[in-house]
Parts: sequence; structure tokens; C-alpha cells
Amino acid sequence: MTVEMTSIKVPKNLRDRLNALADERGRGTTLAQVLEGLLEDHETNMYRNRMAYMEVAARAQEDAEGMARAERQAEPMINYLRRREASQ
Amino acid sequence: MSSYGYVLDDTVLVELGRRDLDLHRLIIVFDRSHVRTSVPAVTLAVAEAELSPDQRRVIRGMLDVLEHIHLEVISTQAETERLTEVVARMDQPVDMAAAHAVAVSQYLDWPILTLDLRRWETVKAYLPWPVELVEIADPGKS
Repeated sequence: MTVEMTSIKVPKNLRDRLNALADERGRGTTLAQVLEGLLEDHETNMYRNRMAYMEVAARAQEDAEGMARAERQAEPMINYLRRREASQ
Repeated sequence: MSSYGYVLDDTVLVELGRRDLDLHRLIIVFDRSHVRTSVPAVTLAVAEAELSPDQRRVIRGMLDVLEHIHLEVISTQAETERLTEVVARMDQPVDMAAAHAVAVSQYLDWPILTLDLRRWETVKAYLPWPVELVEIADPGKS
């Protein structure tokens, strides 16, 4: 399969940093591979963050009584903001 | 989207990182109700310093997943100046977590949400403006 290629402009110092990373990763590593690796690292990190939160959020929400209690607790706090907004 | 909301202080952020489920439920209810919550970046940095890497992930994931919660960064001169105005009026050593929460609260005109009003006593004593605080009560007592 042919992969369509394109070019991007980056500041010279960024290109130098990418080149340094490519050198660290061994002979034949292209800048495209370096960029792909950085994107994968970023996406993995974001995924782990989301999963860490989703696990907590699921535990919080599976307790129906706890959620009802939170709604009762939030109601006066939200009303306070609305009254405050209306008075300004 | 509503134009009102709360600014979270470091006491709230630390407990969210520690997976306090009652607190997470409250933030989820706010988000579902389109109430906005703001997380000042410096306040977050101070709070995260008390947390483990796994606990920090919970907060970062929350910032990514919830729709109405936003990180307030310092990336412009105006944002820097607003923080400077608060820092200049604080006692030494400066409580940077409180300073950024106050700067964001003043700018957005939103109250600061805290788990402990006593945490703010010293800060309030030095600032020339009122700091509007709302304490989160124990949900078991509401």
C-alpha cells in the first residue's frame, strides 16, 4: 500500500530536537517515526488518565443513594450561584 | 452553558485526587447541571505535589472527561498581572495555591469552593478585597 506523504514546516530548533531523538532511537529512524512515537506516547498517557478517572467516576455513580445525596447537596450550592448571578 | 461556577481550591483538588467519592459525585452533579468549575493551574500544581502519580492521573482524566471543568493557565501577560496583583499583597512565604485561586476567582467573579474555611483564614487577613468562599459540607450531614 502506498502511503501519501506531505511536508510540514517546523522551527529549526524543533527539527534539531526531533533529529536528536531520532539519533537516540538508532540508525534508520526517520523523523516521521519519531513523531509517530511521540503521538502514541501522548495518546497512551491521555488514555491512562481518562481510564483512571472513569474508574473513579463509575464507582461514584454506581451508588444511587450516594448520587441522590450529592444532588441534594449540590442543589443549594447551584441555587446560590443563580441568586448571585441574578442580583448582579 | 451557564456563566457562573466555582473555582476549586487545593483542599478540594487533593481530595479529588485521593478518590473521595462523595466529592466526585458532587463535581459530576455540577457538570451534569452545566455548572462550570475552574481549576487554577498553580493551585493544581501545588495540590498535585501532595499526590502520587496515580492520584494525579485521576485529576488529569477528570479535566479531560468532564465537559464543564476547565484548567485556568497563565499564558498571557494579563493572566500573569492578575496573579501578580494577588501575590504582591500576600504575606511571605506566598501561598501560591491560594494566590492563583484568588486571582481566578476575582477575574471570573466566581466563589472559591473549599473543604476547609480555616485554610483561608491567614490568606483573607492579608488581602484588601473580600474572598468569597463556599465550604463543602459533609454530605452525610445535609
